[in-house]
Amino acid sequence: MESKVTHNLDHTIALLERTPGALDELLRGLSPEWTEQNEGGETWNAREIVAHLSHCERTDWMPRVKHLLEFGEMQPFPPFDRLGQRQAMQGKSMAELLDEFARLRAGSLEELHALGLSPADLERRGAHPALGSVTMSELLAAWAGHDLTHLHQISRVLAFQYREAVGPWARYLGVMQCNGHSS
Amino acid sequence: MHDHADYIEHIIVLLERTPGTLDELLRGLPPEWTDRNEGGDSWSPREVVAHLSHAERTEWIAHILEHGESRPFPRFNREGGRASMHKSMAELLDEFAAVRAESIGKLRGLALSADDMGRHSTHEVLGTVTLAELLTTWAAHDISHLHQITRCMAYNLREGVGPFHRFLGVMKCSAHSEQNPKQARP
Repeated sequence: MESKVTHNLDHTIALLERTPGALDELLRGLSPEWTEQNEGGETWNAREIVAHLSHCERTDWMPRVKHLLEFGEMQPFPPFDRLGQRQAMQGKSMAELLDEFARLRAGSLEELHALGLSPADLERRGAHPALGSVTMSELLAAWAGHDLTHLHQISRVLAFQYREAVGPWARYLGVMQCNGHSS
Repeated sequence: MHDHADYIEHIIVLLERTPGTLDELLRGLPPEWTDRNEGGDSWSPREVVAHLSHAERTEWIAHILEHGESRPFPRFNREGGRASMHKSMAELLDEFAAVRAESIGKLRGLALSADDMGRHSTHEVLGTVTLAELLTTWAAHDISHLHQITRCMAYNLREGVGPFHRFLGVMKCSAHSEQNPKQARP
């Protein structure tokens, strides 16, 4: 079965609700050897990725949804600082960051629910500073796609730590062939 | 390399998390997320979970227990998970959690020594592999399939996200692409 998930707000919300729990199961209590290691250079470790998700929750997704409803295409979304989490994560443990993300996500979904978006609202357009005209539906789908992108990134960062220890099996492990492509 | 007991414990910590992570991510999600694949005969998330249980029964702990250098690993049936595809996602998640708990119990029971970790086995394609590599690959195989599941789910959003596509790394992943969707095998 091959198809696409479009314009189905309930499905998008079903995924958005699950991300904090999935990250919690994967990362809480994992040793710093996993959570603090990155893929080299300036790449992000798992703790920073969780902090980034919270930062987006605060400054990106629901703020943009509301901005779109208020201004349509008349005024572009305010710019987003994709490194904004660097400050916010200072001194915070993984457990604290997971709690924070779960709390912020629950709050966002409550706000989204309260908006009671209609099918017509999903077709409304806003102006993305880099991408131009986007619909509410695309913005909401991108929110879910962004969760998946970072779950995908975390799995790659974790696997990176084992790239030598798996020996010749690396060639059979797809995640070891993933070449970054972060946003 | 750490002390071998610490190393094994690190592997176990990862192995223990996978069923819960998949459960949180997938249980109760609509079939539009869990039953769609990346095209062709690539795997849906439900099939990936079935595959993990199948591998758990026939691969990892069985290899550790039974096979030395003189007795190569038998060929693994990568399609073996398909036999369980009549089961619901909830059933498959329950099954995976149960077989994983059982195999971790067996692994702990083996109390592998540092010498054991260096033992060799023969893989039909890869040649000589160590027990340490096999154990590590077990955990990495979980992570590889989590990676695959997220990519598969994102694939189903590819049109819905419109121009946001270019900012979403997962949509550019070709690590095991449609042409070769089952590269991630043990």
